Amino acid sequence: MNREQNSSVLHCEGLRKRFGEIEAVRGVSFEIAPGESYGLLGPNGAGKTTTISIVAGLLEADAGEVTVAGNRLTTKSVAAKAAIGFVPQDLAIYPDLTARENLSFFVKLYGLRGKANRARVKEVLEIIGLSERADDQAKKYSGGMKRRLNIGIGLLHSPKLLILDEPTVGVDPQSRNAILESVEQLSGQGMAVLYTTHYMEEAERLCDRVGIIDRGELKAEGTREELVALLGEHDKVHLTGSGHLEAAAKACAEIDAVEAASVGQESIELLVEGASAILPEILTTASSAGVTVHSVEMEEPNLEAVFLHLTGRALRD
Amino acid sequence: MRATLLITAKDLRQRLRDRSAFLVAFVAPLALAFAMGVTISGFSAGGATYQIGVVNLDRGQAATAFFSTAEQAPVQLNTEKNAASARKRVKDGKLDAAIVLPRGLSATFLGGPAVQIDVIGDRNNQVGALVARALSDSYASYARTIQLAARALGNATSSLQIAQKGSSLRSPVAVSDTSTTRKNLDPKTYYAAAMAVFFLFFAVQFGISSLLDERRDGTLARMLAAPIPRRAIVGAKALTSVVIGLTSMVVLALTTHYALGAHWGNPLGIGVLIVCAVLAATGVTAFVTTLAKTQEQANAWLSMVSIILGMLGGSFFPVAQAGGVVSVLSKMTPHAWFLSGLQDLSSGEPLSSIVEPSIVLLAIAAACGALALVRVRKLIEP
Ligand SMILES: Nc1ncnc2c1ncn2[C@@H]1O[C@H](COP(=O)(O)OP(=O)(O)OP(=O)(O)O)[C@@H](O)[C@H]1O
Ligand SMILES: [Mg+2]
Repeated sequence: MNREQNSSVLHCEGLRKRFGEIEAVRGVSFEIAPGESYGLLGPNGAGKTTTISIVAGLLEADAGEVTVAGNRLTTKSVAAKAAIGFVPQDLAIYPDLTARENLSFFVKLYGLRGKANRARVKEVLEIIGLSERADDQAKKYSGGMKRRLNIGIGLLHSPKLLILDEPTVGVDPQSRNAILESVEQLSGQGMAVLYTTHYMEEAERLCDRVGIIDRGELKAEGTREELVALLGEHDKVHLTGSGHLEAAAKACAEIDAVEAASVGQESIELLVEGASAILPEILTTASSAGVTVHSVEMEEPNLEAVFLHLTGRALRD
Repeated sequence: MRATLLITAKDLRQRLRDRSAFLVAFVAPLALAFAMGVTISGFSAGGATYQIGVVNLDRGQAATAFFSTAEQAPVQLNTEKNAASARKRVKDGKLDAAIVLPRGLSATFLGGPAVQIDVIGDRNNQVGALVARALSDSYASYARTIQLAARALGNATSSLQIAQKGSSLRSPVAVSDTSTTRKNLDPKTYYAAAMAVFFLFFAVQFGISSLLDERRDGTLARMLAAPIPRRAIVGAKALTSVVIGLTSMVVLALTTHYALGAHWGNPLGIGVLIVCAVLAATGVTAFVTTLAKTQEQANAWLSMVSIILGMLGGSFFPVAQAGGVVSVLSKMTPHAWFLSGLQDLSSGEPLSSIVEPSIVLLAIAAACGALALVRVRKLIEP
């Protein structure tokens, strides 16, 4: 073990997992330092949940190694799991139990009993803002409240590493913001966070470092600046219009300076070297391919552009 | 172990909160045991005894034989002076029915002419007449057997002696009441026990098959992520089944004992049989559950298996006497073994008589449990 590995909260090396024909994770390696928040950014089916399931000790990897807080993690290890708080992608609560009972049960599994248990449950109820409804059955909560309870269970034992799997999917904007704020707060308090998402904004806002994952492979990782630097002189051009978008995207991709072109909803995303010089050519190519252009924007390079650059596809399609 | 108990406690709390477990484990079996116990005992020894008048015009040994064969039936025999007075008392409702043993009945056994036994019934008391009819029929066929036996022996005169000896044996065709023979439970106890073991197979489902609920609801993933061994989760589900099953059985035994007058027998023996039956039910349920992919599938299969086993095992009617394939199949069900163990106990056999049924029940539990353990691995993956 090298020194870096010793000091990291999470260290994964060469993770692989196959489900029959599908190779869901193909040699993923990364590590997270104490207090650091790390985002796994990738589209649907990229392998985020599979990776996280291995890291949380739910799923046996076909190959690779996970170390959590210095302890080797397998599906059977107890010490390593005790250091992890896990928030699954889908709601995982007992609807017929109250919030207090849900929290109390799970924290007992982590060994907290009696007074300490009650005190910690009370604290977490405060954090997730459910103190007043603590003794109602969870099935009577609103969607947002259930989500908050779902996250609260992961925080219970003050883990060294909190793993959240797309916690904002299907959440209203208000709750979403509350979730993001509490994650920010927790990582501010020194908890390491592993966060998966396919929202670039969340990754940019929350994460110190981001790993870009696609088709089971980690394409690149680093801070936002490091990743954007991968784009070099590339700019992102966002073009909205109607007509033969596919054909236009294809035609644009033929232009030398255009590195990648991908069709979105009534829009085309382009990654262009020296965009301002080449913009007129892009517009003529698009309209001669049968597209009526409504607007053109040159955007600040962001992680979406990085994803496009690395994979040739848009993060959301 | 601690984790197992924590999960079991949580499971039991959940089950207490939803009414269906309570209904299946306690209410339904009690209601049915009451309903069946009451209906059945209306026809047989469990409840009312039938008052049957006997007009003895024969006054010979054959009549004595009649009285002794009738001892096994759920009837009280009252001697009547003559047919007319018997008819009157039947009409007045003092008797349920009456039987006239004709003059010359004993002589038939000695090779005399055939005679006829008359049954006096009342239109308003069909059951009473049926009972008297069954008594007479059974006696008649008994008489026929004796005659045949005597003839086979080639000595007609000895047939009465055979009859006298024979009267201590059971008649070839018994009165159609299963409670009269020695090895049977009285109907109240039979149906209390039968319903209890039938619903046991449903009650234990509330433990094991909640594993599928937890998988569907994602809470299983949470438990897998917690620092507890996987076997604690599986163990807790089995333990929940056992606790619910035991509670259900004990409550049913006590309730039917005190409220219905069911005679379950030696408490120690009953206790052992109940524990073995609960383990067998848990094993079977666990195995079937691990075959299913979804909760819906598991529910459907478990209901089917529970009903089929219950029917074959005699939960609705005693099938052990049916003979043939059915009784062989019956011997493969935990239900039949549990009920036969109870029958042995209640007929006063020594405690050792439950060793065999207990061993069979434990073997079923072990075999199914082992298969379930092999298969459960795929269920406890997220
Ligand atoms: N249990 C499983 N059995 C078979 N295939 C699976 C299983 N779990 C995941 N997969 C497949 O593995 C691939 C990666 O899935 P995964 O759930 O890890 O993606 P994801 O990045 O979390 O996607 P999403 O953003 O939609 O949640 C997908 O192709 C998926 O179909
Ligand atoms: Mg996912």
